[in-house]
Amino acid sequence: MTFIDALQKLADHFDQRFQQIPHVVEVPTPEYGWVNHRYTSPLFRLAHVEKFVQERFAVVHVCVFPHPNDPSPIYGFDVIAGENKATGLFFDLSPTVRPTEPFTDLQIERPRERPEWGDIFSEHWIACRPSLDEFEKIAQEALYVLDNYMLTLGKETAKLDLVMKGQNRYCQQQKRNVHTRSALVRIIGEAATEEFMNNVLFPEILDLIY
Amino acid sequence: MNSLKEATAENHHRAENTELVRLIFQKTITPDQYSNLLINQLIYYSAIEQHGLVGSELSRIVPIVNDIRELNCSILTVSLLSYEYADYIATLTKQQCWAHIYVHYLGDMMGGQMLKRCVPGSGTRFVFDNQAESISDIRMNVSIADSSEANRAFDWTIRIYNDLYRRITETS
Repeated sequence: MTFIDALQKLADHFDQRFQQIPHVVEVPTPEYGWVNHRYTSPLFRLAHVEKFVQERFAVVHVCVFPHPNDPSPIYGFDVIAGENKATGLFFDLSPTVRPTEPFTDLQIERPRERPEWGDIFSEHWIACRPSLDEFEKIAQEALYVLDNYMLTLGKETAKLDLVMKGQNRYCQQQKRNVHTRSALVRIIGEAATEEFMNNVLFPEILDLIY
Repeated sequence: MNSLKEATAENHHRAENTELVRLIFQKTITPDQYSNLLINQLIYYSAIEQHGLVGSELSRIVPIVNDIRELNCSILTVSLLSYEYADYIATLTKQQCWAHIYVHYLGDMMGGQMLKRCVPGSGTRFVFDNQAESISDIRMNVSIADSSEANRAFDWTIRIYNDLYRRITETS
């Protein structure tokens, strides 16, 4: 199996997980030329599964934003891979109003440096360039963590303005990622990239229009 | 005043005359606009149902979700007031929560039957099994003593409807 196959399979598993959540509603998403499935439910504000697959390059991005009165962290999982190697894998439960508890026992080799804008990630974040074997282990763990994460959503409430501030800061910092931006600009151009990053990938809680 | 209905009549009238509800009665609300109302209701109905007082026959979560799915809207707009209201509901005692059930669920069963004919789609959120039993159950659990809380439920509803009306008419 190549990385491309493995990423496709994983994206489909994530998608199935969200579709099986009770009372989930698909959020309308403009067409950009690749798979972007977004969902909302009484459990979370927004979940997004992005699957971008070309013959020799694939990206999977999964993000879950809790409702703006829920102090739970933001679930984030991203992999960028060529046919035979992954150039980056990032996995975290990123805090909004309180520090994130450890969420995995995985021991990771070849960890990556935290980017300059990456102070939004928890101290337990995983960032690496995994082998295919490692990738499969991390992918299984990411699904397992997602299942448990879903059980924790909506159990507590916090002040709206604090959660909003935390979630919005997460979105603002993510939008500073020049690698994401430049890759998108090459494919869809400046204007559509701006729209995609602001409205689809990292929609801040301003007017809550999706 | 000797009944909860009389004690909340003024606010009930205000809620029925919000621009959003008028849009529904005039049958001019679009499927997108109505979906947005449902998405917001899902937020605070979920908070009400977390109190565990609403049984499966009365629960509106599945019908609301089904109605949203049927309308297949192209844009979702959420009012932050819906979340503030949900947070407020989470702080209520069980008895106070009954006042909110009275306003919303009894409203869905009574006036909702008129609304059903005016909304886009099948309006399954206005369809109840054992409606007479549910009405009687709600009425048994509230009294004139709950009028302040029921009026608060109307106040929240009116604020949310007004905010949502502004948002959905700006975006459509």
